[in-house]
Amino acid sequence: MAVNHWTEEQIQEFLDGKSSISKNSLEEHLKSCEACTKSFRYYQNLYSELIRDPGFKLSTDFARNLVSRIPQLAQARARFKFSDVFIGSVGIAALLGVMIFFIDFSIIAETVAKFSFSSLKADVQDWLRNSLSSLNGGVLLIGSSVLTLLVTATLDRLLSGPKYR
Amino acid sequence: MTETGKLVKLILSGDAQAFETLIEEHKPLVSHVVFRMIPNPQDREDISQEVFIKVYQNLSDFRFEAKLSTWIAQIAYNLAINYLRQKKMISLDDLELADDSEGHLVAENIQPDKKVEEKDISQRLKTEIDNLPVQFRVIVTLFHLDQMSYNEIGKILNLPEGTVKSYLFRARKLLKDRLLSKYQVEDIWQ
Ligand SMILES: [Zn+2]
Repeated sequence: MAVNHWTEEQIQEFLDGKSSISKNSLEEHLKSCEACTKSFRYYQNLYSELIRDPGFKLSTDFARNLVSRIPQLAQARARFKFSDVFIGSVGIAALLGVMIFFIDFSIIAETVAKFSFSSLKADVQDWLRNSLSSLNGGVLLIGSSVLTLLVTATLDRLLSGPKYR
Repeated sequence: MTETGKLVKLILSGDAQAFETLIEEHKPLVSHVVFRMIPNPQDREDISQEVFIKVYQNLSDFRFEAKLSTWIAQIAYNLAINYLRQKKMISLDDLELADDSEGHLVAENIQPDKKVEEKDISQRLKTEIDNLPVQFRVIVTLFHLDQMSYNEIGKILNLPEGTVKSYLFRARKLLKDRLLSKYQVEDIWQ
């Protein structure tokens, strides 16, 4: 038989209101074709089932409960911003720490001593020179603690961030 | 300014009542997405809350290029997908439907249940929808319950329009075939 049956896709398209085929030509075919009529009815029934309210219910005071949490939410947002500022400043401190690490303080100490210590007593001069030079070792300590802080802050931010990002 | 625009502006200015209105308006949409995706009843309420919290916290980023409902549904979909991944209830493969996954869905040769009565069909349909791949479930839901277009659904699921259309058609065919073969609904659906 050289009948052009409707494909299931065409039937769905028609029911979606997106078919280019006219209603008349469908009805004409359905009159004489049992197979397509069956298929059409099945889909019609399925469609009317699919628009039924599935009864998905959230708790009745869902909205009010959430709204009552707004102050908390706003606070969380503020804390979030604070941590951004914190991380920013620690980052800058770390950068400075690294830079200072590569500066040789004993040279600075010598230079400073040459020009400004000349009026001071010899033992005061020595003490100043020594304390400036000893910064070289201390800087490593400062640098590493700043880096540790930075890593901790980043981890904290990642962990305490929104649960399902 | 549109109604949505006014509402968003009010919420951003700190109007709690306006946020409550937004929640009430979009509660059905969010529950459709979340309940269809999340099997665990206890987590559904939590995730729905997370959705609106995220909406509240990111509202200033909403740019009105999309509809507010599309944007909210997108947040709901992404949170639910993340949840499913965290709980190992879904893998990347589930999102890239292999062609044989569908064959396997149809090929189940189950003896039909006793004939169902008309009132049972809704329940059976719900069960069969739950058996579909997650994207099929969401697409069917957004299209039929929330009257969204292929284009909007595509934005939410991050899929091309053509894919949305083809998944929707395949999902409906699966549902029809399974209801017919498993529950013999043809007498009711004559
Ligand atoms: Zn025909």
